[in-house]
Amino acid sequence: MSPAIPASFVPGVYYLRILPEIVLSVFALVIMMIEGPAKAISTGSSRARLSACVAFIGCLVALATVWVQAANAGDAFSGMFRVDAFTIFMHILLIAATAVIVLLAMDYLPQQGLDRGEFYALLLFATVGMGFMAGSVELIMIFIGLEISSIATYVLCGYRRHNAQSTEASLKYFLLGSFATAFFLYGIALLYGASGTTNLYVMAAHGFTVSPGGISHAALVLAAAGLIFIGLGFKVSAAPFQMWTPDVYEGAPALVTGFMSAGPKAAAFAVALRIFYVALQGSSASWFWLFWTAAILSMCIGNLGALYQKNLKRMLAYSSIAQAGYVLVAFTALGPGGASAVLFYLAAYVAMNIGAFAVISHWAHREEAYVNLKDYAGLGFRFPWLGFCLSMFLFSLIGVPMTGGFFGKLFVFRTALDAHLIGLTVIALLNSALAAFYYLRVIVYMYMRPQEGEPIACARNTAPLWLALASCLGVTLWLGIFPNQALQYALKGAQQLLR
Amino acid sequence: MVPLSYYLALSAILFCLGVAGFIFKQDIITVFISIELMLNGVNLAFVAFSHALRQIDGNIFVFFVMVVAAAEAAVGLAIIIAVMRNRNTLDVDQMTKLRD
Repeated sequence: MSPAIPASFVPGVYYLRILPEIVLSVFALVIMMIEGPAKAISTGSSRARLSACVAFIGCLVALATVWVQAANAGDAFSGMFRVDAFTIFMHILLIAATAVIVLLAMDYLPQQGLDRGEFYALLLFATVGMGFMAGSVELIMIFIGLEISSIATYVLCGYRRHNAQSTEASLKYFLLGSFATAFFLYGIALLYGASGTTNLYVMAAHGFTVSPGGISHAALVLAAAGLIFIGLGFKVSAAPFQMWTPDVYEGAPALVTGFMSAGPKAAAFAVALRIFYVALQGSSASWFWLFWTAAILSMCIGNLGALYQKNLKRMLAYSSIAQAGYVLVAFTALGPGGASAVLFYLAAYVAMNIGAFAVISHWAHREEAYVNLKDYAGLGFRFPWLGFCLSMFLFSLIGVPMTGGFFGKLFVFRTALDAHLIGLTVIALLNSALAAFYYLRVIVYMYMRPQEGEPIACARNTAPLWLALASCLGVTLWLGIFPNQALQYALKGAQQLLR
Repeated sequence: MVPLSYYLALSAILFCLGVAGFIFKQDIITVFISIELMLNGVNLAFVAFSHALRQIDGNIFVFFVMVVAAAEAAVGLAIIIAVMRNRNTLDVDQMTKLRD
């Protein structure tokens, strides 16, 4: 009954192929262990600083082991996990994003009085989950990776646990996240029923030919595609499943919002690419319209919603819905072109969005008192470097030339045009023009509005903050000035994904 | 033997009841239980397919789903307790600190 396992699936374990995940797990466990004994001999903040250093070293070691992983490409765990250029691309992106978040946390957590080590352990565990999401080719593993990352992120959302807004955000994220997971799982169950396997590449090779109990497999696959789309749509906050995003992004600690808007979203897109581009390749005509509709809705709802926001976190939440819409435009283009545009855009998006949230979380001050637009009046001249960084990230989100956002959008639009999606491209272009308005408004406030009342003192600038800002800015400019290399990697990843 | 379609219909009904409970119920605990109901609907579908295909995979998947659901419940209840301490209510309609 079950399809024969192709010869390319070499059975075996191959720990080297999941080395980054192992390293991250070990470091996260070490952090949890040093939290206990260190309590007896040191104060809270120095203990958290130790945890932060361990976490940062863990991220760097994990990044280094990605090269070991890359040198040992192939299948691991009897074809459950696959190391190819796509996995490598996503791993570098996700682990680097976490490393930057760890650096920022060294600045943000003491400032907020939240200086506890669990933050770093949860962050690393979430990254382990995202790594598994990106590399797994088996629906069981993808589901477990998704849950590892989601559960850690639910907790991180409510990290200010005495704050009503933060716990409310955590609750909303938890309830809607589990709701979405149930849809995702139901889709998996139907896919399993229609194919008799949970391996995506076996599904792609053998197609959906099983009709258990005389039930039409075409109907099962169609329902499965819809359900999985709903589940992943929630995770990437694509419209019409975006309603949780503004609330959760506003209520969660600013740094966690930055993390959520980057890592888990990119990992969920990786899962979507694996499932829809590989396993459901054959029925693309039936699911194409889901993505087409979601792309238009996300862009329009995101950009229109962002126009009226006074709270910067909420504004960037709507902006992230719109950005997911641009990725969906690329997704709709199908083929290696579509997948590579998705990957490149994700890289640019992660760098610029974490950068923007880095400035916002630094400027938020204790209890996140300053997150509204008016609090940014005069920032640009009083703290030129901070203002410059935020402006660059916002320019990149608009898509101004010389920034990663520009080439990201360019590749997305070009691929969409190549796929003859002219209507969609026109709507996307109009939307990115509309989006410029609310991004530029922040810059206008920073440089052209006099501040009212007491000038806001800037918190002490720390070395980790500047290192993090410099790396985000560096990547944004690198992708904007020399996009070729990253594009080559993205294309290679896309080709190996579809092989 | 009961045909597969009966099991699938029951699993769909369970899932839809869960969705309805999630959308219409006021109490957070009930909303949370509705999610568990959805997961059980999914589990039933897995077991039914596994039986119809004469494979073990679907049954194994159910174990993973149950383990993950338990982990999720642990974290979820902790979050609900944190909300209860901050608000003194578990009414979904009172969760309005964050809105447009």
